[in-house]
Amino acid sequence: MDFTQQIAQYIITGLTIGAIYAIVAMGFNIIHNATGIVNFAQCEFISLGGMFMYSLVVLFKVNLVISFFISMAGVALIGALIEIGPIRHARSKETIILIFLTIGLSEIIRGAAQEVWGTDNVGVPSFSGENPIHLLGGATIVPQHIWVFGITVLVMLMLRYFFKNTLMGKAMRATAVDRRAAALAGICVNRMILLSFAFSGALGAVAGMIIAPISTTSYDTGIMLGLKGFAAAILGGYGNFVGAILGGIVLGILESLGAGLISSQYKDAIAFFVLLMVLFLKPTGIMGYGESERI
Amino acid sequence: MKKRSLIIVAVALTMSFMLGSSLCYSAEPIKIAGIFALTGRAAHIGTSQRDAVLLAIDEVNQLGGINGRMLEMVMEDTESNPTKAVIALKKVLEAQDVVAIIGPTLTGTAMAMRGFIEKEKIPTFMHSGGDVILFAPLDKKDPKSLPKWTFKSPYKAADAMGKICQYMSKHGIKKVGFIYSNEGFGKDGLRNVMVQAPKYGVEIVAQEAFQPKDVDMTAQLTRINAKGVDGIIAWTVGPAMGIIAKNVKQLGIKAPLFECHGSGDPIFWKVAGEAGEGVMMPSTKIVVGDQLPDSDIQKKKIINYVKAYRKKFNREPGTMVAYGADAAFIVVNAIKKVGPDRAKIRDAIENTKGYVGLSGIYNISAKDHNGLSMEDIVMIKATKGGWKLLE
Amino acid sequence: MDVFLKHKDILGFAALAIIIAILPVFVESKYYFIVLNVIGLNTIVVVGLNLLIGFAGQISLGHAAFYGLGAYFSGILTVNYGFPLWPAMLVGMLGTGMIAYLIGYPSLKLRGHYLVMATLGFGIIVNILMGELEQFTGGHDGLMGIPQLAIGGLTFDNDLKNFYLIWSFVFFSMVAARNLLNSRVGRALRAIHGSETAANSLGINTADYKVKVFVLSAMFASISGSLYAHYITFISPSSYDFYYSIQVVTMVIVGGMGSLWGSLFGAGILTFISEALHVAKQYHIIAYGIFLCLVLVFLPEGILVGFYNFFLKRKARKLIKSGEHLKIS
Repeated sequence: MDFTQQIAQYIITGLTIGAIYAIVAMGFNIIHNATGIVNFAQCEFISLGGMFMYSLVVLFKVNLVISFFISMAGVALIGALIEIGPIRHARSKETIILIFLTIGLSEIIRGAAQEVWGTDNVGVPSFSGENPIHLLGGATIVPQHIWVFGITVLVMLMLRYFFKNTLMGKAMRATAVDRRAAALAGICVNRMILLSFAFSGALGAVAGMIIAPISTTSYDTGIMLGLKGFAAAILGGYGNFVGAILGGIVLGILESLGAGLISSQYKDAIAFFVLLMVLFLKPTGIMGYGESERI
Repeated sequence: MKKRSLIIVAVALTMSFMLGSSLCYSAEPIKIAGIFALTGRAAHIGTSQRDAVLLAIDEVNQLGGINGRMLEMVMEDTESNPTKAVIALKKVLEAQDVVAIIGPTLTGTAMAMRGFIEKEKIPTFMHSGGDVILFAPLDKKDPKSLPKWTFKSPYKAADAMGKICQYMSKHGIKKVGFIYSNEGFGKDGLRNVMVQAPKYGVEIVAQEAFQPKDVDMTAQLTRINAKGVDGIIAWTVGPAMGIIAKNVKQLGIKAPLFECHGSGDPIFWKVAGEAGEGVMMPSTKIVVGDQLPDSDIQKKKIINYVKAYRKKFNREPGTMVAYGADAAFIVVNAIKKVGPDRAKIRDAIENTKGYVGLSGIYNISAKDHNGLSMEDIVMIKATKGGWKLLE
Repeated sequence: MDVFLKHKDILGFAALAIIIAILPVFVESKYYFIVLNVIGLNTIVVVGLNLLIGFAGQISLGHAAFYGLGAYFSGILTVNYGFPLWPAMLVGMLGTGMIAYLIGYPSLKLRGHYLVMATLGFGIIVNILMGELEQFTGGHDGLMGIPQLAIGGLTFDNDLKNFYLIWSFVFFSMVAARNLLNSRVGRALRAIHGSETAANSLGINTADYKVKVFVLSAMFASISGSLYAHYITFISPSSYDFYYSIQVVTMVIVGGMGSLWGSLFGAGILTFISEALHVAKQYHIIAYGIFLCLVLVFLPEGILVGFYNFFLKRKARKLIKSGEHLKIS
């Protein structure tokens, strides 16, 4: 393989993982826009998506497509339960308290997941086989990569349509901009917040499920992916949707090129270092406008 | 509303304290402590080691224990964290009647505990992978200050690497790429391969690292393949074992893939799926028990243990189960010989000669607290969801 | 340095000193000692961190890095270069402080979640470097053979002696923090926490103060890290990951943000619970998570402060019911 072919391979890998980061980043953004907090339970949503998929497809032999949607619904439900229970009833609405509440909740979920599935990593079958596909430029991928790209694009288009063209989507956007005004306009703010958690759950699950055939999954796969997804969200401008996509792609490619061209040991350090540099130079991320201080 | 919530909190707190004080000890049984990583990042290894040890202890108890006294395992969790490991150690040392320790799992936790083990003088049989546990002197200024109370059941990682290189040179594989997980185990492998490969005329033409939690190693494998290698060694445990196998198939790399001596475990098939076909690795004989020639003295013991293992846990044992079981058996044999006395047990363990274990034949001595050699290692090939003994 | 301790502070500290002095009489097991020592080490970090979070109102999710830097400075200097022990700790403190300044200066200009990410990223980078720079740090296998601390002929070589050593440091760090908080600086910090804009308009150089508190909290953590290194004599990167960063911030919150005694309480109760819950065997993660969520949902001001407020309110309610407040004339 010559140099350009290697670069092509790195870029493909970077785009794939970047797509995952983008989806996760969107999950973080939705909750941030609705509530102003960082939902660290997002990490568990990712793990749960992959594990539900494993249980349904591998253990109970349910049809792949049906499992996909059941899994998504299941994790969305868990997201909603988190909101309707502990988060809504927390006596303090201070951001730092709620952030750590999500951390505590994610520990509970992780502990429960360890009980149910054990600590082993497990594989999930690829959606349509594993025969390598050779691309122009010399890189090879497997069909699952196409699924990753395809589903990510689909998700983005659907979210865009939802937020721009549907009444509920507009209501959620209104809640994000100004809660009180939205309430005055008759929007049930609590319901919007509940919905945002459910969405975030569904998105996390999708991310976990499409990457699972490539990377295997376990009760704690979501932690690193979640953190990097959060980094992608910040990189692109926290709360900004186009930013989530940009941030994901940039982070994914940076990581991959960093590993391939500079050093595979320092890969993560390079990625976070670049993130820090971006933050120091443009404190609101690539696409961010001013962020009003909520802490 | 507030009052009610306060009561809930108070009850929850009280209950956790009550649970803590409801322990009871009886003086009759002989106590061995098991300190493993039951939670945290090494949980999947730690829990399976614990199971292996428990099965061994069970077997002994079924046969009447030791002189009528049952063996009791006191279990502690290191949480894959060195600080917690030391705390667990101190907790165990409190109970003066614990005569020996088995564990821990991760090399980092082992190293943290080592100094205190030597100071407190309690015989400890470890099954962590790092060779450094036995070879790093206790006092940097005195290279002869090797641990006296610490023993280790897995064969040296250096020997495992040597086995691979030996196999490679026998089969004409000369130029090799080495990809490793960027943490203790993987880096240890890098050091080992640099020493072992030249011994057998194998040349490492490429080396690449990846982060343990990475999900895609195509970048590194691409670079390795670009150097025109005849074989690739991947040194890691965990999901990466499978991901690398998949990536190799994806990139269409023809060079055979070798993995480390921890890969011979059912989890390999779970994470690699079909891509695992054809991958080779060094291993203990436990996974190919029924393929051993009848003349092999280990065969009977392995087959019996594996049968019991399958019955109790309803799954196949992996190669590392052998280490846990052997650690337990050797300690128990020592106690059988000399009774529940820490110093005597230590001496007995140190003089274990020709012990037929699941991992190999142990010949422990003052200079060698491990007792295994390259002869005990076999090369196996992953095929059709199981393993095939190669040599 | 001026001393700003009030009467009730002095009483509290005297009580603490007495408890520290006589506690070992009642404690016999090495296990309890090491748990107490770990609580002490955590307390030092938490006290410093509380100055940043509770008083200056800034979040750092990367403080494990400073704890680790202190440990590695001490470890590397004493093991690899034969540095004398106490100067090594001092160098560690200053070195960590400098690094904290370099990272704090640009970071603290960031608002809200961006600051969280910056500290998180910094913590991860330092953790990676600990594992990679093998020639200095011993890499992932860790650094061992770190000498134990000693003053003159007295070596701190067992749990009891380390108890006194560590808890002396705890005592002095709390006194120092209390002193700071009662001074002008403390009032400036509280003003910043209340409203940065208002504080700025009053002439307080908020950016300057924030960075200084960040550096100070890093130095507290560094000292604690050095003590750990000399106590356990072995350090490795896995102790300084972002899980630890999360743990210490959790201790700040559970103890009560902005409460100095809460820092001690938070470190104590969370360390203790994390050990005590081992009886729940593998469920201890779930149990710990449940405990945490209960506190955060129902007692967000912190356990200590929460119970204190509860009793205060109950007293007030009783007073109002009995109509006593009307009798005052």
